Amino acid sequence: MREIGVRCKPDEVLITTGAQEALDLIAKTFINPGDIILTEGPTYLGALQAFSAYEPDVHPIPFDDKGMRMDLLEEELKRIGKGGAKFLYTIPNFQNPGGVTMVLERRKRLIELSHEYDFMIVEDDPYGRLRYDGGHVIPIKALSDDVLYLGTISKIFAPGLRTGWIAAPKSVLSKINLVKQGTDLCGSSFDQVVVEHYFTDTPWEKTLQTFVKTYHSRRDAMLAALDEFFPKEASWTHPEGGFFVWATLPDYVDTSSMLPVALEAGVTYTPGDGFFPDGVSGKNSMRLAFCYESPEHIREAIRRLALVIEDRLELYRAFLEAGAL
Amino acid sequence: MKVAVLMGGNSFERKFSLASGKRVCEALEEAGHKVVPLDTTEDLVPTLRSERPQVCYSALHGKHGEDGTIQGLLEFLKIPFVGASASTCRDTWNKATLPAVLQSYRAANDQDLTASCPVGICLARDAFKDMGAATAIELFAERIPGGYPLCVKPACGGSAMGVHRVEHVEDMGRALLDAFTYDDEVIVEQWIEGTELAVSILGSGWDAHVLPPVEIVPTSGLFTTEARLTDGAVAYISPVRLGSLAPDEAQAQAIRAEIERAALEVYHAYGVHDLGRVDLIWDGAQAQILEIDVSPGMTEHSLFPTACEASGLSLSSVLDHLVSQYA
Repeated sequence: MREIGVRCKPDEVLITTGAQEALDLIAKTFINPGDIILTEGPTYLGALQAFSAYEPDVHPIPFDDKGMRMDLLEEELKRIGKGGAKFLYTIPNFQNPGGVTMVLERRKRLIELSHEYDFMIVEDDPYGRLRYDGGHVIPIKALSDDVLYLGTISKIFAPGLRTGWIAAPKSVLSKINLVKQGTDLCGSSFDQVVVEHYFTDTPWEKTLQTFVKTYHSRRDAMLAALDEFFPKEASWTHPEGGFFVWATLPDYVDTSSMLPVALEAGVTYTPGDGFFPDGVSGKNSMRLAFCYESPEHIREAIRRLALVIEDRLELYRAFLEAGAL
Repeated sequence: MKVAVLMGGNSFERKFSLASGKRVCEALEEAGHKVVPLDTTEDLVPTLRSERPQVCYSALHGKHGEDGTIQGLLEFLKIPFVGASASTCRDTWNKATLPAVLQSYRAANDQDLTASCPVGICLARDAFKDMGAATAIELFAERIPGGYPLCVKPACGGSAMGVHRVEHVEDMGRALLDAFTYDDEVIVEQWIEGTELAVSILGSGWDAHVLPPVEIVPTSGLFTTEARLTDGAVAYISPVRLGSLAPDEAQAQAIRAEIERAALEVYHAYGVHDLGRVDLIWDGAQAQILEIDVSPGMTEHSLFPTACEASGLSLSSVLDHLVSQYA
């Protein structure tokens, strides 16, 4: 934590079974039915799933290439009033699914707004170490001790070891700890010993650089392929790290409806509507993941997807021109 | 016997096929057969030629499974298989053939048919993409008796994928676009209200006999793809409740007989043999045929096994009978 600019003591850290459990514990501890939760729109599907069990009212705030829009956040906060929001959930680095990173000025503004409108900030940072371009942006937690910071070893060591953590003020952590005891008593000591050994006794930073180099080339392959093949009507984000690109098509396209056609072409993506709480917004967007395939496969996948989209756009245009949509 | 069970495939219905295939394998093994489960990978033909099964059972659904592709391949390899021939499958796969097939059967047999089918229009994707058909969407209401609501569905496809009930012309564009996701031809036809039924048939020619019709009752809304996958979303009642057909028992029995006759007509009209399932709606006056399925689902929730159970037949005995005739 110190390496990324966050000072915290051991008793301000709770180990969880992956950051996913952390999301569920936070939701279980703090959300009452009807509570307003603010998130980026779109946001991590797993967070929406974790929160939804406790029936919050999720308000998504759009982002741009600099991260969550603070002007739109402030408008929303004025509308719901001081104390109206329980917490704001953000993935500020290489956001899932958007790929965007919240710039430092907006992180500072977010903290100001959190104090002014009295809501907690939950900062989820699974990808922070996987930066390919640009400089390190200090965590929101480094700017304010009140922030609940979620970390994980999933993307830098092994997701199967299910090890994450919450760094938070002691008063907050004590509540979450009580809830965790009721959930699983405690995490797996065996897994934690393995994790501790990895980060103490092995050249993990060198290994991490191998990961970064690999993902970097895959990111570049995807962005180059998008430039080469995607139609001019499409737009997409340019992530500086992480795993994802968020592509947006004209608003008359339904990416869920288009998915079977893409699958027939041998390529898949995640339709955008699943990343919004209403399941309707984001219908013309899609998340593209570049973490898994080789650069060659990524290029071929984007080429095929572009053909599907182009064919679909031609059909859509015919309906639009006829006024039938 | 050594039976190759084909399952999975690359269609939109792959997961249904895997579930069906699993159950078919279990049922055939229960009947004492040696089962070789196979997916349609590039190794399929070499594997079939090395395994040399005595017969194939295809549990593939959708494209390649029901459109004559796998049947044509098995005919080429001279491997006996349960179910309709390749050419029959090519006809049954495209629902747009139904009116013409019924008409030909009627003419060939010089008789009126019990079976009817919704009046509709089949249009190709290119007609919209390249020829401006979208400018004439308002004509559907004029061309199809009764107008809205209308049914929009892919001409080829199953499991209700891409099927829409369209209430207003404003919604027609979206429905057509979604249906074109699944096929290059789309049918727009009358939306039929009534009692939805699935009539399963076993056997061939004069020996073909109808199993008790299954009444399909979604607990809410329509019999959609999602409903088919959701436990408790649909009730399958076999045999069909007489009260769903008519208030008078004798009249209801007569209607049930008419429904079964209509299903058999479609089965014979297409030349289906061994097994099949006819989906139809009793609209209060006629049996309106929706489609015939030559590779019916075989999972615990599927309509064909439900009908078998209602007639006191185990799936194992039915499948045993079907494969054994190729011994």
